[in-house]
Amino acid sequence: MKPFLQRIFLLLPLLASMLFLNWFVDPAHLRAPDAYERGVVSMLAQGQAVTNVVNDDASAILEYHILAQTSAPDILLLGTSKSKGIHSDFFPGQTFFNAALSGSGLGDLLVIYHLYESRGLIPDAVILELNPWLLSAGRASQSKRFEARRAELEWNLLRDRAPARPSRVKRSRFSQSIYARIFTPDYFQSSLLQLWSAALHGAAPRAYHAGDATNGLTYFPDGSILVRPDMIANLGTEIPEAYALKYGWDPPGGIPLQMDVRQRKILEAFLARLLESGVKVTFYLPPYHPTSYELMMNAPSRFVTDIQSYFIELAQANRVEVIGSFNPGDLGITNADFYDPTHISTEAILRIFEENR
Amino acid sequence: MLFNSLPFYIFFPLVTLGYFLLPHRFRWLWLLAASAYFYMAFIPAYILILFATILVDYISGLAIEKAEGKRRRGFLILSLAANLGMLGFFKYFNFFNANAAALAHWLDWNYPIPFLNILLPIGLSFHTFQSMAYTIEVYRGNQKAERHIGILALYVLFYPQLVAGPIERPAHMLPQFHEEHKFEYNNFADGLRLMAWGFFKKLVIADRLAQLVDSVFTFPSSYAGPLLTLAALAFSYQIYCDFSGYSDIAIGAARVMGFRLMTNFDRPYSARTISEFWQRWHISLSAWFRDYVFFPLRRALLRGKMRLPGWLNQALPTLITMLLSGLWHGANWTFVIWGGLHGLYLIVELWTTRLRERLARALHLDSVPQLRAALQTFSVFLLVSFALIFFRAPSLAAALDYIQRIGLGWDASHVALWFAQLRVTLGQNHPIATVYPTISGAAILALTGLQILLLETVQFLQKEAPLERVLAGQTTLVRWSAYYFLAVNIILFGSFLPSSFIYFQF
Repeated sequence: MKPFLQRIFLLLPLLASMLFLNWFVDPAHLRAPDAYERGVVSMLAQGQAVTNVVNDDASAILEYHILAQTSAPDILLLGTSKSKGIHSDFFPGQTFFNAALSGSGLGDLLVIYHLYESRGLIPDAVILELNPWLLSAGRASQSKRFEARRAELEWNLLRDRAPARPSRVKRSRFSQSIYARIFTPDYFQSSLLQLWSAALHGAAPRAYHAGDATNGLTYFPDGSILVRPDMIANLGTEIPEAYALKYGWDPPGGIPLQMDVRQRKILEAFLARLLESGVKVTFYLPPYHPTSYELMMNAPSRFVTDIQSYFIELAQANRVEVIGSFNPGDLGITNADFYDPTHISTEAILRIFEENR
Repeated sequence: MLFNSLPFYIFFPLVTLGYFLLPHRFRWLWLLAASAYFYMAFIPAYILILFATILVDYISGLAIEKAEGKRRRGFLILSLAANLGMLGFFKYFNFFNANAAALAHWLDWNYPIPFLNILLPIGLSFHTFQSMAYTIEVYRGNQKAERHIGILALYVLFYPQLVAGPIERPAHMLPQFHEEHKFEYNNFADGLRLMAWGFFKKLVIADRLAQLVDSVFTFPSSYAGPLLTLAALAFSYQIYCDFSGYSDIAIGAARVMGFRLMTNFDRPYSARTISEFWQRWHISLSAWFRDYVFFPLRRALLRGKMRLPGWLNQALPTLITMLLSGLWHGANWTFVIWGGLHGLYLIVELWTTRLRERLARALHLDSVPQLRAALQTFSVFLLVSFALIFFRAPSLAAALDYIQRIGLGWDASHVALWFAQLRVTLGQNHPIATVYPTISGAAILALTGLQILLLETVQFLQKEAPLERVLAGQTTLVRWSAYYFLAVNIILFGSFLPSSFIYFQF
């Protein structure tokens, strides 16, 4: 037994460093859930840009950021990361808040809007970024914190009795807690990589701070974000092209092969609700990468054109303005406007808004 | 429950600890309960299927032992029918039904039989074959019928090898369940070493290569010939590291408790002939087919009334065995073609032995045996990789399309795009890419190549003796440096995204 214990002792440095780093680096901020995000929001609420934000829960930052507001903005944007670069300079003389959340589905848009509506804060105008996957059946929320509310809001919106009663979201709290993750090698990997990355950029691993972009994302008080400039500058043209070739067959978020009737009803009910509240609604259809779009036209994803037609018909029926198009060719958008395979630069979005208004 | 998941990281030490803490007479029950729990983590209700077949096999085994003549054969048929019936129903019903429906459609007949909306019980083909081995061996008189139904259940359900083998034989496993295993440091250390090596193969190589292979095989038209070729070769390593990695973890987990499972892989890509490849690849399945299909078939042909030419007596059992082996893997024509191709390789190899020898002499290759060996090994690897295109492709048409496209787009002016595509596939979710987002595809390829080189080097070192023997001769510092190197390698470069093992689907 003695040699066995001696050898186990040799394993201790590895186990100890795993436990130590997982606990102290805690890359997903599990030790104090939401404390990291609340800290970021407290600086944003003071009007400061916050940079070096790493491994954040974007939905938590958005929720706390909205709840910190005491009045509705003149213009509210609901959408995904495709419009996260839109900032208040787009709308001089008006207050603007970018409430876009990466990968949002229709349910996420409802939950985010509800954070205002439930407190009686109604914006004058809403820019609604529409993507094909909004009409995918049974799409869960991007965020666990929004999922239960999504189901309930959808149910309320439709007054749908039988089938869509929200079910309780099953969550294994233990497996997502620091007490379970501290023993896992994947969390150790994240801890090490976060330390490595921070050392490269000369920043403390978890320390967000006010100012320009260094490592990770920069959040602005108007809800917009800035992606690390070095990532954008050095991707070159081949990497976005390679991604675009991949995404042409498998677009991120997916393209439903038929428009789900229930999702359409939810969208139409949501739109009606906004219009009834006196909100001016604008649809924004973000363009796909030209290479992806060309491939999509030769794949089942070509159904994207039918979805766009539906969005336009819906807009026309409700006298809603439409900006943009899924087809980059309609907007004069080229490969050079994409800093990665799915996102166009802020300048390109501004051009679309100015030219297509 | 996956070996590469948090529940297993908790399950494994608890089960092992419980095993050694309990008195011997309760251990079978503990292991059986743990194995049932392990299996029920997938689809709980399917445990009933397993218990039903175990019960049939238990009764059949006892009955076969007692009975004589036709009754004896009758009980064997009952057991085989129960096992194969279950396999046929869950795995092959929809396949044969779809083919029958297509034939009926072609003949313009009405075909009313509906498709079944059922999920395949995990590892069904593995434990069915293991169960069948038991009753066949009892029938042949090589194995006494097991009196203890709990031990027989454990033979089928033993969690390390339940869902993807190795497919064990009763003579090897049943006595081990009766033996009392004391805690031994060597078993413990050997087992953990094997498990670590298995995790390296699975997490660092197989799951990384999967990022490239999955993208390219799903959308081959987005990629040029060089990437299609690379993905096909990468799949050979992916499937090997995935499956042999699983086997290593399974054998290691059993070894920790003192059980010895059979070796399932023995450096298959060092084989110089296809027949040698099959002696090194998925050894437990190859041996099963050899003992229970190939030999009986050949005997039947040689002793049968129907006189066949000698060359056909050799070729026919080989081809039938390999076709069945293909079908065992999956209910899809792609697997049948994969098996058939290997059957053809084996037959051609057999028929051309002298011709190849003459050719080697004519080219003076026999004077440079190392070059000859390298050429043979490389040829076998290419042939195996080619056949694996059928194994990986979702359909026959997709496989043929893939093969056609390999010849297209070799224009070197697109080399920058090829590396960019490597970056976005092979480099997807790569830990290094999160630290260095602008890392090139060439660097990611080189990193992956280094890991494969490490694998091949360790396997080369194991040529003469197993890894534990190689390490045992080293100083503590060297040994522990090697362990730490492996552990850090897994932690830094492993893919920890949830991913199943390829062979779980069979």
